[in-house]
Amino acid sequence: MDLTLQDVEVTVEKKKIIKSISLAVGKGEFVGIIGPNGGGKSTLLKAVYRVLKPSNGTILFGGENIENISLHTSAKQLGVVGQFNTVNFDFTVLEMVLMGRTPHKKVFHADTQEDYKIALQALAQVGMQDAVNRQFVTLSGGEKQRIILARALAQEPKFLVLDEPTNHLDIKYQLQLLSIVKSLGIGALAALHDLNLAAMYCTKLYVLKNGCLIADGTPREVLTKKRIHEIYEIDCDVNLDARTGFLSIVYHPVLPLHDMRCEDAG
Amino acid sequence: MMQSRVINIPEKVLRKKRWFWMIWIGLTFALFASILLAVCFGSVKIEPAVVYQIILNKMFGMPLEGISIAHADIIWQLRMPRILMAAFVGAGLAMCGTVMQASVQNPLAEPYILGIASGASLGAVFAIMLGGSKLLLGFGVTVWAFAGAILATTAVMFLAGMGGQMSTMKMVLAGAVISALFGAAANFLIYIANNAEGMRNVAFWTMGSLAGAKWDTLLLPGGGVSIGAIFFLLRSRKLNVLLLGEEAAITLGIHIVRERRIYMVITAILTGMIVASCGIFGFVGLVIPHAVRSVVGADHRRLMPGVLLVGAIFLIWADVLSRTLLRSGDLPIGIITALIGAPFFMWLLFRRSFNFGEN
Repeated sequence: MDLTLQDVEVTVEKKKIIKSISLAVGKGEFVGIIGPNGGGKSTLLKAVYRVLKPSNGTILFGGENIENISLHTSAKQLGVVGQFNTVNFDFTVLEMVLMGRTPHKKVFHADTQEDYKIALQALAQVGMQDAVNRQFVTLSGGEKQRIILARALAQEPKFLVLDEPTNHLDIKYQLQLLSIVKSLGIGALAALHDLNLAAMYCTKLYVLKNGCLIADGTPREVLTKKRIHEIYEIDCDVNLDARTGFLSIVYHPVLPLHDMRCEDAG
Repeated sequence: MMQSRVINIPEKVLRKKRWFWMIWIGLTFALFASILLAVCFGSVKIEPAVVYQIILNKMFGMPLEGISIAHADIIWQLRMPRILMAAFVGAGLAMCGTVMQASVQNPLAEPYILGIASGASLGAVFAIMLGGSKLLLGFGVTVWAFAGAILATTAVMFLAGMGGQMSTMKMVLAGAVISALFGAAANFLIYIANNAEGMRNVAFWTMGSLAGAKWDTLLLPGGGVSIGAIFFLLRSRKLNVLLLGEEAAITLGIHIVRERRIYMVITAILTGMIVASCGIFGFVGLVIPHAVRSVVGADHRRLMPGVLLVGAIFLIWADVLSRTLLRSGDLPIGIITALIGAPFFMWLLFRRSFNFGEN
C-alpha cells in the first residue's frame, strides 16, 4: 500500500506541531524521517496511525482518504511499532502477539490454528520463538520491542509505521529489525535516529525540524556534512564506504559542556 | 527444524485450554454446591434433609411431609433469594472491577472508582434522613441510592471530559474529587438531621447487607448482571486490547474512547443497581479480579468466566459468615469482605511473582 500526505498540519493543545507537510511513500518503499528531538517526528507518525487527527490537510492511504476508512479496516492493513510498550498487566508473549490478530476478528471468533500459526511465525521471524510462554512484563526493553514488532507482523499489514523502532535494541537486533521490515517488501515509514542505519535501509529520507520539512531525497542527497550540521548542529565526516557501498557518518565530539556551565555560574 | 517447532506449540496451547475448561467446570460445580450448602446455614437451625425437601418441593412440586410452613418460608422466601442475590452481586461486582481495571488500565481500579459509592451513599442518606418526607417523591432508599450513583458517575464523566480529551488519569482524579464532595454532602445531611435512628440505618446501609433480598428485588440486579456478563464475555478480546493502552488499542482497530465510554456507563449502571439494593461493600471488585488473574493470567477470555464464578462463590460464603457469626443477628457483610479481602490482597501484593504494574 502507498501513503500520501498532503499539506498535513497537526495541532496539539493549540500549538501547531506539524506545519503543512507533504510526503509520499510508494508501494514497497522504505522511507525514513530524521530530525532532532522535538522536531515533530512522532507527532507526524501519530497522525498517520490515527491517534492524532490532522487539523488540516489530508492523509491518503492506498489512495483513499484515511478519515473515510474505519479504524477496524485500516488496522487490517496498517501495522504500527510505536514507543508505547508499557503494559501493567501480565500477558504471555504469545497472547501479546495474538492480539495482532484482533483486527481480523469478529465478536464471536475464537483464535484458530491459522492465527496461532501466524503468531508463531511472527515470533520466529523476530527470533523470540523460545519465549512464547514467558510473561511480557518480565522481558527486557529490547525483547519487548521485538515482540511488538511480532505483533505488528501478526496483523499481516500492507504498510508499517515505525517510531524509533531500534530503541533499546542492541546492534544485532537493530539490523535484524530493519532487515525484517525491508524484507517484507511493503511500504514503511519510520522515524529513525541512527543516520548510518537510515542511510543503509531507506530509499528516501525526509528531514523534519521544528515541524517543517527542511529537506528530502535519497540518503546520499540528504545526508551531507553541511545538511547534518544544519539539522543537528554538530560536525561530522560523511564518506561513501567503497567496500560496502553504504554511507559512513562519523561524528566529531561536541565541546565539553562543563566549561560552559562554569561560565554560566560565574 | 523451525517448522516442527512451529507446529508443536499449538498442541501445548490446546492442552492449556483444556486445563482452563476443567477449572471452569470445577468452579461451576463449586458454585452450585455452595448455593446448596449455604442454604443450610442460618440463625434458625433446619436439618439439611428438610432443606432439600423444601427446595425440591418448590422447584419440582415434590410432596412436603411433616414440614412446617414457617421453615419452608425461611428457606424459600428468605435464604434462597438472599443466596442468589449474593451470587449475582458477587459476580457483578467482581466483573465490574475487572472491566474498570481494563478501562482505566489501572490495576488498583474497582467498581467504586468513579464515585459511585459516594453518590449512592448520598442518595441513601437523603432518603433515610428525610424518611417519609414529600421531597422524596414517594421513592424509597433503593431508587434514591441508584439516582445518586448515576448522578455521581455523570458528574465524574463530565468533569473528566472538560477541557479536551478524557484521559483515564483525569477520570480517576475526578472520581476522587466527586467522592469527597458527595461524601461531604452526605455527612452534612447526617449532621443537620440529627436523627439517631436514621444514623444507625445509614451506618448499616453503608456497610452493606443482603438481608433485604427477596425474589422480586432479585430481579433487577440478577437480570442486569446476567446481561452484563454476556455483554462483557463477548468483548473479552476488546478488553484485552484495552489493557495495552490507548495508542496500541487504536493501532489494533479498537475505537478506544467509544469502547471505554460504553463500558463505563454499563459498569456504572450495574454497580448502581447492586449498591442500591445491597449497600456498599468493598474489596470484592478489587480482590477477586486480582486473585483470579494471578492464577489464569490477564487474558479476559479466561479471566472473565473465572471472575464471575469466583466472585459469586466468594460472596455466598461471606454472606454465610455474616448470617452466622453473631448470635444477635446479621453482621454487615462489608466488614466481612474487608476482613477477608484486605489480608488476601496484602498477600497478593507481597508475593513477588505477581505483577501489579511496576515494571
